[in-house]
Amino acid sequence: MIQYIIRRTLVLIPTLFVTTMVIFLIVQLAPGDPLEIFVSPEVKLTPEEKARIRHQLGLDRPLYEQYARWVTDFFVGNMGTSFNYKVPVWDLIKTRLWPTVQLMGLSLLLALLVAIPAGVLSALRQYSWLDNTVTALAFFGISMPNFWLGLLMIFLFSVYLGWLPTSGMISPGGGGLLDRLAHLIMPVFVLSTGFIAGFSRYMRSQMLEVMHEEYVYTARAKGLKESIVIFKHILRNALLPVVTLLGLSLPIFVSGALITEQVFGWPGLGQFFWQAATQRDYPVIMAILTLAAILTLLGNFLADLAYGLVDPRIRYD
Amino acid sequence: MRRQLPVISLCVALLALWGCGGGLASNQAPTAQFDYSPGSPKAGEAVTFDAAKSTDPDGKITQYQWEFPDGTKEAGAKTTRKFDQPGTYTVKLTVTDDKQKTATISKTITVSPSVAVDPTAEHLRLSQGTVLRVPTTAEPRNLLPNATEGTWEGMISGLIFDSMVGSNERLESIPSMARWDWDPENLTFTFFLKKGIKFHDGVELTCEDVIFSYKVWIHPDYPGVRFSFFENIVGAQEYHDRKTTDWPIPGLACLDKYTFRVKLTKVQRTFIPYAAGSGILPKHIYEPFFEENGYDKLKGADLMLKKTIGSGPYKLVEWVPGQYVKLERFNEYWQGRAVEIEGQTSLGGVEQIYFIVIPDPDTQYAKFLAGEVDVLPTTVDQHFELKQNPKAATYTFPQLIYDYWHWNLRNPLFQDTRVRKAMCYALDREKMIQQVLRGLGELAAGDTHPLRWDFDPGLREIHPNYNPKKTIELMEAAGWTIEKDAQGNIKPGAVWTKTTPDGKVLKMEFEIATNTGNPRRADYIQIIQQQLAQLGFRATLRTLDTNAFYNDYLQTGKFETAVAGWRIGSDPDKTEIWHSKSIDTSFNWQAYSNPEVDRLIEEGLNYVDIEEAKPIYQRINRLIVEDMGYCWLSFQQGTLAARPELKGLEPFHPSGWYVNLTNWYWQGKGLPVTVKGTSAR
Repeated sequence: MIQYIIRRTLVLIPTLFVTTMVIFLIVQLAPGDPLEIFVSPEVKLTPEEKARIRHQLGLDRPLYEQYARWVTDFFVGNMGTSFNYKVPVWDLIKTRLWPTVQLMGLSLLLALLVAIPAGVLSALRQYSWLDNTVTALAFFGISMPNFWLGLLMIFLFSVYLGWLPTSGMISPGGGGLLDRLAHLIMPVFVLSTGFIAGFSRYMRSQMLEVMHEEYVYTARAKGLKESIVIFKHILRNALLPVVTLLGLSLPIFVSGALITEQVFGWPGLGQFFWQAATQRDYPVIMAILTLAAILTLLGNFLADLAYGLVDPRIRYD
Repeated sequence: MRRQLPVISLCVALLALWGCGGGLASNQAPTAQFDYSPGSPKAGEAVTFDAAKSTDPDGKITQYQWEFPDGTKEAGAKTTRKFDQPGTYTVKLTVTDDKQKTATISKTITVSPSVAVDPTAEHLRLSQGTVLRVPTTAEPRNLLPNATEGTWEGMISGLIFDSMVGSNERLESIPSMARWDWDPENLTFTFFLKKGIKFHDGVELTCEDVIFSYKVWIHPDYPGVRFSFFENIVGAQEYHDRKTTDWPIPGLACLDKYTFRVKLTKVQRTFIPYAAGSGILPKHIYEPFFEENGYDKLKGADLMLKKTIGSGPYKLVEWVPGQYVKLERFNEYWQGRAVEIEGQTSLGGVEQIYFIVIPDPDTQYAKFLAGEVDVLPTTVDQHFELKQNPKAATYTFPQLIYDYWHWNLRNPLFQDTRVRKAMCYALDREKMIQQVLRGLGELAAGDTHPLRWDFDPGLREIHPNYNPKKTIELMEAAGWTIEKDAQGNIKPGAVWTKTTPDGKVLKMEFEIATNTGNPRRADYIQIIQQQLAQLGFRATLRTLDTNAFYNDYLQTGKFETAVAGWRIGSDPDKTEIWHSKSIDTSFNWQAYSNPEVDRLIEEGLNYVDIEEAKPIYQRINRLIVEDMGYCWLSFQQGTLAARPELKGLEPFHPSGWYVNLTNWYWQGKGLPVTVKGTSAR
């Protein structure tokens, strides 16, 4: 086990380097001089001023040196200074992290709470009206773009019915827990529809697969109660891949939901990334992308480990 | 709440007759009487007192003595006096006749609030609790004067920081916290600050704060990139280039607590609107901070919240990152603009303003419809949609922006003025305004704006207006040929061609580019393409990312033709766009060059007085229009929607719909007005 962890970690390092290099190069390839973004376009600068700022930002160094400096700085916790806000990137990310974690955590939780029973039920009653309904809803959820559903909900619940606040995290002037919850309802719903749709289909197919395993027939043949067969023999095994799914969901906690956060004015990392991308705030873009890459790798890694823990068939020797 | 009419309350007309020590029965006492105008004076307004109605039945009045509530006395039949605070004042007049008999009269004058407002007065309560919610597309990053970048930042910053100089509706500079004198001999501006102006923390604003603010802006580390406003101050360049650390630099001095002097190295008219129009920073807050942390450190919302203190009408009280910024009215604001509200006077501006971050334009619209924001800058389509909605009032206002189409004059296709004119004659600009702006715009001509003092209506007459015949005439005069049918009309699909003396064949084929993210310009280039196609010009279209458009395409001179726009400032200086020295270095992307224009641009900079400068700028505009430097397309009107109960929005200031925000109020919440009596200073 320990050996496996060490081996996996060693593989992670080169992967991470390649990823950061790709991120760095992509950002370098984007059109426009970073200096022109650092200072607003309507400002005229003398060549000396330009040279001074360029030097300050380290843009006069060769590319490999810039990369080396960025990577080493990054891994000692210095993500650089935002072009746009002129403050350390981490300070900015910090304030945006909690709203995203909140939104994503709740959406994932809701998704699991709905998707697992829905998937289980539709598998148990395959081709029944219930299964057909769940399937239809799932396809609706998968094909409905989030921003569109979000806007429809805003127009229905905020504009016409006036039940829910349109956007943001709290009302101006602040509000209690209820106010916060009211602001969460629509974005959580919109985000979780996507997850629910995917998860429930996944759950259903897993269930169907396990239901036809021989040990399930054995269990039934033994005369075990149907509930024990379903919960102990089928569900337990069908749930295993969900662990992987959750592990793979880890990066969304930093990447956020770009479009949903944008539509609902949710001050999370997704919106922040969007903003940084449109304003070409390179240090912020690179920091968020790198964090997302790290969490993706980490998520995979953790999922693999957890798999070993919950599934006795898998052993890392 | 007490009700009182803000008219003159004539309390008493008291005649007090003193007995005469001499006991001369033959002398009759005089009658004291006086008038004052205006009849209902406002705070800060000069009131003229006239004792001409005083009489003496048997002689003449030899002496007049006025007594004012502050204890001062004045002599003379006529006198003037200002009351800085609203309230009631008793003025006493004593007249003495040639036989030493006296008579006295007192009158009580009610001064209504106008310029200065007493913060303790009851009328503040009227607007108490009033809230205005404004949507913004992005969170402000920096609110400090001359460091702001986006429109929102400038808007919020302008409410927090007040400047020495403001501008009126024709964009002429007017005194704000200070009036100024210009001494052309010595190239010196002297600013006289008003006394008693307070920062939000109650500390008085003095010349020390002004000189410190200049230090911040001139400082080499300050993130604001508007050093050019200040570069002509004697010693500024050296300080900015770190050649000296001595402060103050020789060009700046405080003559006394309220007098600030600036000496320039050369005439700079823009000094008044730009440099002197910058918001003043309180020295006692920022100096210790900047000295400790460096002039480039302005970190995070927390710090901005604690450190954003100015002398403007609103103060920053809350900042929830990514959510909103809250401002509160500063009731001791030095010009606490009292406004006429529904026939009565009250302190203008709502009490609290929330700037709510809503990045998505559709969500902003929904938020307005749902009643969660009170105003909304709208698109043209939203404007017409909301016009039908009884829950919205729609406004249009002028914007200091024009759109234009221009040619790269490095390209041999476009070097002949006749060819450029021909193309501009091919455009039906009226139709473009109807189609794209739905009529909310007008024809543009010249590098100016109808609202600015240098505008010349004659420019519109010399600018080409749609005329296909002229297009053909001019092209043929310039030596171009095209296939025509039997009736002499251009054959569909034909293109103008010309053979140069060295045998090359030129074809009228080119590209029209613009930036993405501006639907108006995207529409414009399509219409231009269609209209040109009918007259033998073949254009292809290209839209580029905004950053790439300006930096990689226009700046480098790689473009063929492009549609772009300018936001114009309050000064008409044209160096950056039209002077030949700005080719390849500044915004003269098209490489326009006319020695006469160069000369006039340089000459124009020598005039500080706008009346003297005006003819020069009008002449420049005529030249650049005649040279067809641009084909000017349109001035666009801005559109804004607001709750119908929100009043006082108009007139809009040309610099932005939000500039006169201190005059806004909620209907019904501006009444009634009661003014408490206060004693005069």
